[in-house]
Amino acid sequence: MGIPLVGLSLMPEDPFRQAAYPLFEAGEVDVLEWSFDMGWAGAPLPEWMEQLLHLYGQRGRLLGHGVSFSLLSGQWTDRHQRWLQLLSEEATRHRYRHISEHYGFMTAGTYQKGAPLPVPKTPDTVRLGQDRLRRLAEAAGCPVGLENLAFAFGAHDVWDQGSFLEELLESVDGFLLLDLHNLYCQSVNFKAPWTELVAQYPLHRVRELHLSGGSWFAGEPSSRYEPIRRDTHDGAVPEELFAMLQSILKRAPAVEAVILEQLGDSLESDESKVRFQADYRKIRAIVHGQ
Amino acid sequence: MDNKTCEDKNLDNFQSRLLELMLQPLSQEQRWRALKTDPLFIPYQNYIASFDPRMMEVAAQIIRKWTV
Repeated sequence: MGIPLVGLSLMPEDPFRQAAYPLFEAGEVDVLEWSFDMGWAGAPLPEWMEQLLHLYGQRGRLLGHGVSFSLLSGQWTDRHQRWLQLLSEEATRHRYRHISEHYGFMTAGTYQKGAPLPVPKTPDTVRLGQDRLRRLAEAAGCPVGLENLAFAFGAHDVWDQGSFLEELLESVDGFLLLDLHNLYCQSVNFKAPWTELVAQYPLHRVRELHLSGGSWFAGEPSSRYEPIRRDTHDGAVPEELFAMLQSILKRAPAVEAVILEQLGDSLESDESKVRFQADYRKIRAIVHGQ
Repeated sequence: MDNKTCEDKNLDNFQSRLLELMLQPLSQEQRWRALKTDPLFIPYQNYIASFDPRMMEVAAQIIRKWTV
């Protein structure tokens, strides 16, 4: 396997475009990831985004990353069926090298949107997840994978996630999108060494890595708990993640792409833009062994 | 592909009720009591026993934020 590609998660906001422009101009963005279902609900995408999606797609350098499928919802709904139909259409509109979604669920009952939450691992939930992943693979028409979650209700979610992902991915020979900040969140929040956590994961299936920043959640004013680390994608990459990246690249032989994620509206200030560019270049230097 | 999709009614009940609990303005103690006594949570008591109260607080805030 050659040197992994390094790229960005594409965001529609102007601050992102301004922060990323020098990186694109310097030819440093090898690959682009797009959360395609973000573009399904509203106005057409700006022309600059469509041009980038087309350009990277044509070069085989476009990755798709869904955020709203809700793979592990207990009930299959019309919304799921419609989502897969839209995915099939999306896959003819833009050429994706591979497509990923999130492990977990985000819709149930009347609750129809949110952040993905974990699911208890049982034979029934594994069977359900395998069925859903097969349907995702059929609609996508390209390799499919799942991203690990940051949030965990407790120890079962932390220590079962790796084996749960392996059993799901095995059914479609899928890939793992290993999000290092999500791993870091669990390590910090549950005081578990990240090296022990990552040993539970099918590292031979890791095809893509995510790096991002986050924030500390202090809870209610009356809370007696320590702050919790959350994967909010709105800050600089923690220093610990660069060492994790170096280590994981040696342990996961099939990594093809490393993606930096940051929300566009967290890049308003000049300071945040400079830090974003510095984080990206540091990731790129590590991947290139510099 | 076989069109009959796989569903898990117990899981659906668990997820729906869990989200409802997170959305309601309950105290931690009230939420814990519901998690331990609501019949919809019976199949998952072993899983629920591992829940960390800090993470319950975070989950409630995340879910309320996304619902507003």
